[in-house]
Amino acid sequence: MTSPSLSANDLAKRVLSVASLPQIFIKVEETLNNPNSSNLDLAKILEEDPALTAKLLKLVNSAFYGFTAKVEIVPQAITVVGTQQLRNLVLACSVLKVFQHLPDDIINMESFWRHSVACGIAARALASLRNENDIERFFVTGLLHDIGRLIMLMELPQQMPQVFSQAQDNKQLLYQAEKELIGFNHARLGGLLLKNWKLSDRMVEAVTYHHSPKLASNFPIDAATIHCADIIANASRLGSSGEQFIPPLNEQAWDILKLPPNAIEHIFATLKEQYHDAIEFILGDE
Amino acid sequence: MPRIALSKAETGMIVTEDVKGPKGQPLLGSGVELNEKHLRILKTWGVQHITVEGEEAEDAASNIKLPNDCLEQAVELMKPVYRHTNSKNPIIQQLFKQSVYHEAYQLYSSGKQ
Repeated sequence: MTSPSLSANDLAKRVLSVASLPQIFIKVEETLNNPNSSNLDLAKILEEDPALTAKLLKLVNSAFYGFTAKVEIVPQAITVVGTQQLRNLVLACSVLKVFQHLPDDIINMESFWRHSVACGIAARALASLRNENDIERFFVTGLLHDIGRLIMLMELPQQMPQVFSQAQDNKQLLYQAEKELIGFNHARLGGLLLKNWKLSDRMVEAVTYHHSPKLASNFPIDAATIHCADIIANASRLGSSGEQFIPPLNEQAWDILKLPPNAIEHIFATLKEQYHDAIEFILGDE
Repeated sequence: MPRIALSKAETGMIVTEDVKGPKGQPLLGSGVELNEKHLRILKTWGVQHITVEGEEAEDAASNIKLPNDCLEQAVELMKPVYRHTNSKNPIIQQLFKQSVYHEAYQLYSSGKQ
């Protein structure tokens, strides 16, 4: 069925027809892009989906944010968290829905999302240490960084078992085995999917180059953050996206983040503090 | 100047870098001595980290003493996982230390049950 010469672009386009983002996210995007809309319009859209509303409010009231006063209604959540941040959290929930029916046979899906959440928290914590604005963007980018591998599992069911067994037998990094056997790796494919979903160039570049951060020419900080967060998430052993090894660290990527010397210890502490709540937000029952 | 989690911030500490809210709005200026009200405001705005005056804190992760056999077992488990990394890099060394500790803690708590 699948021809070996299939390009990453063809694959990402093909996935687009079966994996489109849910209507709620598209509506949220439209509202945010419309200068005449208000926070109340946004709140109305979110409240149409009670399961999502409940999830968002639970997260906003958890250790992930650590607000003292209880946030009980959506307009209040929008005010304290911010519209862009809320949009990113809706995006996180939306993407999860797209991939919720994938089988567990090659990669355990729960473990995959656990790794993704760990990477998201690590990326958000790195951004917070750097005093970046809009740290939620980093959480979502971290959450989506390995999404290309899910497309590979969906669309290349014959080739992926070979990729895994070659990586295992040769003690090779999975993304290198992907490149050798398929012609491109999951990072590139994930970037193309995000691009086709019309997500921001920052996100696209950070996902595309999370294993080769020096190629990120427009958003080197975003790519370096996801690169380092992925390595930290792998080292924490919280979940796995199928990779058995810790990917090599690009020292330049670490250096441009200009982090304090105790950053690693700090990120591990943040993981411990926020992992449970973030997992419940992402994987918890609706 | 250490950058610390807001949960570790105390009154009397001097902020050495401007503190911004989640949307980039200025909350506190550099040089301010933290009081109860400041801490409450920062918490309300969801600030996660601030930079304060003082020395870098010592490694706080090793405050629980783990048995040596758990630590040794964790080192053996983690070594092969690091085969593609540069073990001379100080960041990788820190990561290794943290992940060994994390793994040893898992071994220790599963052994206790």
